[in-house]
Amino acid sequence: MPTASSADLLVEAARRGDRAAFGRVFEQFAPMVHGILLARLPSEDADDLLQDVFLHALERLETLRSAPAVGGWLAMIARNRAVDFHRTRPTLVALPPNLSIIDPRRSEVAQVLAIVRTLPEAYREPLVLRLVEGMTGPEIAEHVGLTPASVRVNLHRGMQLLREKLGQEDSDE
Amino acid sequence: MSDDYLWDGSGTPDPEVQRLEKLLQQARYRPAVRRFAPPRPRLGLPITAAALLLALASLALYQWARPVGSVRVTRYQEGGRDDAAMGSRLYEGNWLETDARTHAEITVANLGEVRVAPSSRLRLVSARQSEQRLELARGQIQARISAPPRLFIVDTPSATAVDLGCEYSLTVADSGASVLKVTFGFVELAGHGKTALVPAGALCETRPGQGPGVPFAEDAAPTWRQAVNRLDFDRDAATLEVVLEQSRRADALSLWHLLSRVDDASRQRIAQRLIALVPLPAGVSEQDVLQLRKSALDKWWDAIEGNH
Repeated sequence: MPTASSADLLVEAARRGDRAAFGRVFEQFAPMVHGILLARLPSEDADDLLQDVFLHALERLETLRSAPAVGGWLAMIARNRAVDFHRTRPTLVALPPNLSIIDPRRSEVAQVLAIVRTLPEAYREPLVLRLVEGMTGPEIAEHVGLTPASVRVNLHRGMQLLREKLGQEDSDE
Repeated sequence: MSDDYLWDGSGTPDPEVQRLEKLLQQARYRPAVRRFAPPRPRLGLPITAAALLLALASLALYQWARPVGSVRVTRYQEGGRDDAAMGSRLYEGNWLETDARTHAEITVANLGEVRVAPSSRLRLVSARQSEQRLELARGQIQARISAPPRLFIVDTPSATAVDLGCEYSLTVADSGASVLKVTFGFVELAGHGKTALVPAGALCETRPGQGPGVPFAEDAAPTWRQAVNRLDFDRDAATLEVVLEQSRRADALSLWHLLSRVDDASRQRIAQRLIALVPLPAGVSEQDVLQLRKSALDKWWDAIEGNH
């Protein structure tokens, strides 16, 4: 994971038009952006939208207030692009309310991620960054631009809820 | 239990967190993820049965997993290096816009590439095996397509360009008028009941509400083109004399297209001029041409096509 100072230098260089530096910013923050997208979208869509988020960021680098804010800024773009993505995709037919969200054809990974996406928004993002992208709580706080205390609380509560939901699914089977 | 392990990996490991970490790391971000590897038939099965099962399984998997059609798009900014290129996907129904300093390249399902010029607006209409279709609302594209004819189609406000295996540029003005220039192969333009077959080395204008005009050789004189357009678009027969007198062999493709767009009297005079430029092929009479018999016109086109 990048340190704040190295990321700051890269962001400053990228803002001066150094495209190679922007490429390094991409490499360093791609896991975080991927995790934020994955907390809202299926894996294949998250993969596709990842490039779109950084393209959007590249076009708007001049609007970034300061280099240390790049993580929170990218996170915000990712959340907004995920919302746009949902809005612009063709509307899907609604499923019957009694239909389980578990599709037997899908892998266990997809099933667990689908359950994570049913959690409140504040919980699913740190959970995906922790459990999928392998970031620690302090790294999540630093990258996303939240306080360590709030990330820790959200991780704790999110994990509690996830345990309950996974337990429910097990008992239903 | 303490949540230290969940927080930063320290303390006593939480078995459930460990299980989820191990499971979910499969979904972790990895550059250039390989998405799908087709299953191999099992050696123990008879070959024909295995092949059939594989085909059915692949079809079922494809139908289940098939996403909304999309094409890959790479954008480039002015002054940027190749390593600054950013890729993304354009989904059916979505628009792609480039500003004054950006161009983009669309990869069309192994069929070719479309370069989208700055200040363009383009929509992906469909990205299916049977049809790759774009809508160019304004701006310019340069298409380089190597595909069976009629698979790649571009709609504009005033006509539809159907690829017949070619390279071309298509420019759409804010008014909706467009200009097609073909550099290799053929493109068919269609709209408002008219069609134009545009070969390499030719260009064709289209107008909103009127569809495609007749194609011109790229080196056709502007005054001659203007006279032809007045005859074709504006039905101004007064320009017929100029059209006939100033036409060259290279203008035969324009005269051939005019045949089906003018009144009987004008058609006869155009046919006579065209015969002087490119003699009728064997088995085709002037009467066949004046009656606009398709087989006769097609044979004459074949003779003309090498002469423009």
